[in-house]
Amino acid sequence: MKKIKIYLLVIIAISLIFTGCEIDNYNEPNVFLTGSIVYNGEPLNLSNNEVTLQILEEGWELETPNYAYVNQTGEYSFLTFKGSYTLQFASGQGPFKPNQESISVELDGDKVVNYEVTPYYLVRSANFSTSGQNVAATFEAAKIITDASNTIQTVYLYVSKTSFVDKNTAIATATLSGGNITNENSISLNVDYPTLVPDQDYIFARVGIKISGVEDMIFSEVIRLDI
Amino acid sequence: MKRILTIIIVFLVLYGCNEDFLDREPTTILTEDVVWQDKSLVYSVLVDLYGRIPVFQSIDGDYTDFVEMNNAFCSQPDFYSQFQNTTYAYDRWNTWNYSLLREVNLFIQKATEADALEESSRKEYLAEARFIRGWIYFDMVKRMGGVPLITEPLTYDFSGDPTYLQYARAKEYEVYDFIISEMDAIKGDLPVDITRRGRATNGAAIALKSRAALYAGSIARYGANTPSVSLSGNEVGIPASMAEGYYEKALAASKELITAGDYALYTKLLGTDPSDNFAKVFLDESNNPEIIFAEEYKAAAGKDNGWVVRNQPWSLSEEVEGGDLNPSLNLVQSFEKLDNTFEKFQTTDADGNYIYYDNITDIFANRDARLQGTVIVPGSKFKGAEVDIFAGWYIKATNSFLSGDTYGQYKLLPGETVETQIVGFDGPIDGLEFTAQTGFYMRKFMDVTVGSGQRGTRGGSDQILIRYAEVILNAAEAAFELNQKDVAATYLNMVRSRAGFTIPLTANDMTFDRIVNERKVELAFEGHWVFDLKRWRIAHILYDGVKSELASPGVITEETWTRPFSLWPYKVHDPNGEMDGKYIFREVLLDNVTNGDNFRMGNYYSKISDDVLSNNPKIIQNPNQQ
Repeated sequence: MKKIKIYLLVIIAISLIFTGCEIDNYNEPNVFLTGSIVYNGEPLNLSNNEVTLQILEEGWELETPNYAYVNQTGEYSFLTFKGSYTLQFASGQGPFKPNQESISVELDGDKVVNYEVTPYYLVRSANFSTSGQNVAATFEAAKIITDASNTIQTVYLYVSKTSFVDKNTAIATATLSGGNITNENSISLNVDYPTLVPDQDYIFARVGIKISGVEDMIFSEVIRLDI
Repeated sequence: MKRILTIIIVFLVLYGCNEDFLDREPTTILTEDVVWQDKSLVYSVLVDLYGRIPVFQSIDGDYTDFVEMNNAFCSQPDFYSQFQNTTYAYDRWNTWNYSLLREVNLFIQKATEADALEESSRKEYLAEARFIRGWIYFDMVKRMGGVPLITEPLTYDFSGDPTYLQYARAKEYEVYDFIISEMDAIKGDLPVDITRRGRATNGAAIALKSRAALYAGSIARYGANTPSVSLSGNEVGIPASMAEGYYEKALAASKELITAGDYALYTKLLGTDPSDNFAKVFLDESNNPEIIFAEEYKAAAGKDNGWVVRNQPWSLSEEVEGGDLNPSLNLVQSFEKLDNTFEKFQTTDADGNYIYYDNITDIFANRDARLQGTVIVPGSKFKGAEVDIFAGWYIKATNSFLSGDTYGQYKLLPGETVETQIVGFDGPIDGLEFTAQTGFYMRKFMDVTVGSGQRGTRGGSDQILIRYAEVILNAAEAAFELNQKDVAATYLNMVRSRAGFTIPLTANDMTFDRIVNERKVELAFEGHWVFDLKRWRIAHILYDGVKSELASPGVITEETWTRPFSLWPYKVHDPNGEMDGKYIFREVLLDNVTNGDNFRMGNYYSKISDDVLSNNPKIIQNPNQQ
């Protein structure tokens, strides 16, 4: 009898060890919510990880949103659980006005949800060229929200060694303040960059517009320039 | 046996309660009824509240407060990330201090009801508690904007419905108005006593009013520059039309204190050395007429601080630590020359050749005396001994530098046979803890008592929370904003003449930049700078995330200050030449300073934490958060 008891105990203990962990552990998140921030279907070029999209799962006692960071080509990606979510931009996020308050998403599998917005400005027809250690850019600043009083505060040309190009990574920056822009359809900037260490035979560049009263900037696409 | 036990148990159950056995008065706890009958017991409750008031840039607190605006670098490796991260978190500077507020409100409620206390002390305690409440609200409004104004202790009735406890945010100016009216109401109940620095006085109430009105005025005026930093219900943002009124209040309150004449600038050592005099402002605790309100520390009495232990020069250290905070060149160069002009330190001439100085301190000569009262510069003294700050030797013949990588290292100089000390015991050595990595050590608040630098005793110098010089600068700023430039100049000159300036400024010299810079240098490391930058709405311009070069001193809004710079002295090796033994200086950017600070619009008012929002749906989030 006693022996049986001990065996039983051992069996119970072993089965607990092997199965116990599954009882109190959560599954890992396994559903991808991805998408882009778009204007007329065209993704916006933003500063890397500076614009955030609030993602809120409703129905919980406490409403604590999660945040998806938008990368420099306007894409976001969010790994989560199945459920119903609300996507929303907090006020003041991004160089744009959202076209609607929020988007409701029913997530039952991986899903692509694009968020349509209207930017204050867009960078159009950006052209880059290099000569020696100098990068020159011409572009057009197209005003999209024409009834807003927001004007161009400054335009920037950033040069970077990697494909991440903004003020955090730039090795050279040229600026032109809005007051000195004579023709918004043709803005030119150029900048000398320092000698690259270690040496490489390419650089990346893009131009951006800072709009007065708006924190985040709108950019052109990142361009790789061979030198 | 069993039966006897049963009888005893039955007996105890039946009669045990009769004897008041469980109803005895506690011998180790004072009950509320007891406390509110005794003056000194109530005082001890009040002292506890004083001890918990929020202090920014506490000399016994987190050094992040000191380094984050680049007025100082921290030599300790834990803090290097401060100079590598670019952005301030949205919840940086956030607070929600309602647990302390509730206790103050409880105190006020009990003190109002306590008729067993004599009337005079009851009134005074009540006024002190209201001062503490005003202080806490000021701390909250400057960080968070308008917060719920709760002036009575809230108690939950366990009915399952907490909505009656949920207050909405007050308008930002309502909170400032509350502080101003409270200070007006209580100042008459508080004594005029310049020796009472740890408790609220008439002067402290007036000074807090002056500070609050000035903040409100500048938010109203400069808020126009950042329209996105506002909420439609004015929980954040003050209408521009109210600016004038607040500035008038600030000026009037400051004038009230100045004309009363109870307080004065500290000038006991002005005749001997204006720099020592300025350093003494923070250390002299006997009849110091400048200190209005302070958190009192006392060594070896249970309330001491680690300021000296952590910041003492390494070569003179009483412990195996020190040298943590290194004031940056950005701050040091903001101290003017005695002819009222700003100038960078001259390291090279027009052709790019080094300028040779006979003595290591010559480069700092003829500057604002507050410089050496705030900062230990190379060649100056602490506790009577000279600090040993030099970065290495400049070999003139080969135009090269020789330096070491440890404290006071010895090496052979070219052409010599005996090893020489090639770097100071205090550095600066890039990346080496305890050395003056920027070339400077901290002098402000540095207690020179022997033992203050030992971990066993620690320092006892007070944390100054309000001093008379600030009130004068408040007056100057308010007068300037009201376009009374001659008045502003008069007040600024009061503070400046104590700093050794002999040429008074005139009304024509009065600019916004002057006012800003005067506060920067006079009140450095005293908890003002971050919030001054916020209320002037210039933080996002100065700290814009760009990796900036060293800005020109005195020019406030045109240059950026996103990275701290260093100034390193070198001895010149020029055997048989005329430059031998002289000094040259170099501007240096430390290896650990990589990225520029990025102050975002959402940093002007800190993020309200999600649990506050979840608990109270009436609270709305601050603007420009994530």
